Amino acid sequence: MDQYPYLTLINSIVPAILTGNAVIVKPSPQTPAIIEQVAHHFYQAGLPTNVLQYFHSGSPATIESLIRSPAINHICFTGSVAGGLGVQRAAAERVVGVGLELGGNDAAYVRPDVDLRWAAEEVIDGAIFNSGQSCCAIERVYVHESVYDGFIAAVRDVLAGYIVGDPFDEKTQIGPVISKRAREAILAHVQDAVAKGARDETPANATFENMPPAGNFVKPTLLTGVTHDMAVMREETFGPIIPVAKVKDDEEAIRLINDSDLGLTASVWSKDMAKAEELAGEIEAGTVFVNRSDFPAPVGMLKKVRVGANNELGSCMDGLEKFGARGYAVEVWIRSVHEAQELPSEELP
Amino acid sequence: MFNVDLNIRSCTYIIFIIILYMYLINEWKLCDKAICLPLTVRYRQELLSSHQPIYIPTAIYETTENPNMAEVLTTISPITNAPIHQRDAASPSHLAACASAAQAAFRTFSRTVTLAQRKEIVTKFADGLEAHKEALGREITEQMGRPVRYTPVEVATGARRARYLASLVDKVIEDTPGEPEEGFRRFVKKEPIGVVLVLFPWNVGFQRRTRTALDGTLIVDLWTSIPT
Repeated sequence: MDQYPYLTLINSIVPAILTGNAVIVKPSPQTPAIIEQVAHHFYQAGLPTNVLQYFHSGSPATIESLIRSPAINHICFTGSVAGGLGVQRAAAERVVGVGLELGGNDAAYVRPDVDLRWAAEEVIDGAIFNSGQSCCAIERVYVHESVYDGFIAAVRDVLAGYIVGDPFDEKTQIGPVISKRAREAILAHVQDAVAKGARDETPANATFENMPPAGNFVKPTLLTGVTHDMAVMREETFGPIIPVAKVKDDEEAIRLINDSDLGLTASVWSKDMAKAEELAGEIEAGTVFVNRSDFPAPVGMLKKVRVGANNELGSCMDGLEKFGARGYAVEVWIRSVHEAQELPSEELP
Repeated sequence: MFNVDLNIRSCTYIIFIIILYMYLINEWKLCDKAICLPLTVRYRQELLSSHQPIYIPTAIYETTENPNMAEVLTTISPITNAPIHQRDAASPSHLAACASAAQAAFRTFSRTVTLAQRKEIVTKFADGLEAHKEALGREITEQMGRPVRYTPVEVATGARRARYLASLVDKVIEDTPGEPEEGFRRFVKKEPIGVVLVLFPWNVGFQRRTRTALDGTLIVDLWTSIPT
């Protein structure tokens, strides 16, 4: 999903150009001007004619005609599982490499030894930044029963201070979701959860109750008492929803985290680094974070240690390494809790 | 204490005036008049005038269902639900021409532009993005609804990633030595593969499609079938 248009475009285009390839881009129809800006700045920088081209289309038949063209030597797709399978099917008629970046249903596990207020702030940010529209957003939260009540209280306290509203207002933290249809799908997940016994424990917040009427606003929503019978826990909600489940121990947390057919990222929140790293190894996800979650927000990349066989920008390195097939390397990011609290707010991922 | 306070105030005013001046200079450079067009329009004017190689399809869209309809992609604002952008969709014949042009460009680019030159292009590209991060950030906000306090950061992060990738590329594409054997020099050489097609959809159904039949009838419907 193209929720960070500059970052996703750069991840795909820059490695290809650095390694001497030509690129044709079909951007998201929601952000048609971004590729125009990217191309403009590339040509201003001296890129030769036609090395970067783009087109606009919403027709699968038209796009498939290009996928089938022998003049295309490699295909990168970013989007849903269904969309990725469609691209793969169209490409299957000939010998051509296909790279797919698809969705996630990313879990966070909060262990008993964390600073609850800090963990609540971080987990909320990971779940609802960009209105939860990130493939790496936290989609479900598991909390150890011994700190569950304290964590919920901290989440309510933090959420009470959030500002939803006009995204052109510098104070606003949460804007609308991308479309009416996206809003309806998110609210359907909430309704399904509540109908099956979940509780909406979102705190009172004046900005949540006075959202601009014209846009597709969804209030950040804290759901408790959630189970894996609910769509909000099994599917990618892609909205500002924070469903929290209570677990009795590490084993139950890992079992529930792994009870998913999507394994993009996950996060473990703990001061016990050795234990957290051990649990990270048991989680079935391509990237596991300790004491952070991934989103292109003002959160630092300092003070963390990466362990594992992959690189910081896995998909980019794919590109740099001849757009070859990526292995199943697992990526683990670890950040010390104490140091993390000193991160400068303007540091970028 | 009074003087210090006064000096700080004076500096603040001077800085403010400098910023305002730089802003206005910047705006004047980008468009003909001080009263600016919306950002995207302004950039597109610059885009069209500065070079022609970018492919901007304008042809009638041909579908197997009805070849007589022009397809226009309309972007709806998540903030107001009003249309904010329109683009003509590419036809299959334009895409075929686009792919041929890309193949020709690839052959020249990969042979004649050195790695050092490619790195320089990427670095200049990153500098260009960063220099315009505020304006580009506001465009993201307009099209996606993400608050403007965060969107220039994405542009700056993108520039940083581009520079980071440029710093990695030498190591990644250098030759890999093979098993030594007397009388041989073995190595694996990494070469570009050609034309890369990059596809970015968003979720299903966010977008209205307007189609105009030849008799002038406007048909508006929701996407239900685009890959997501």
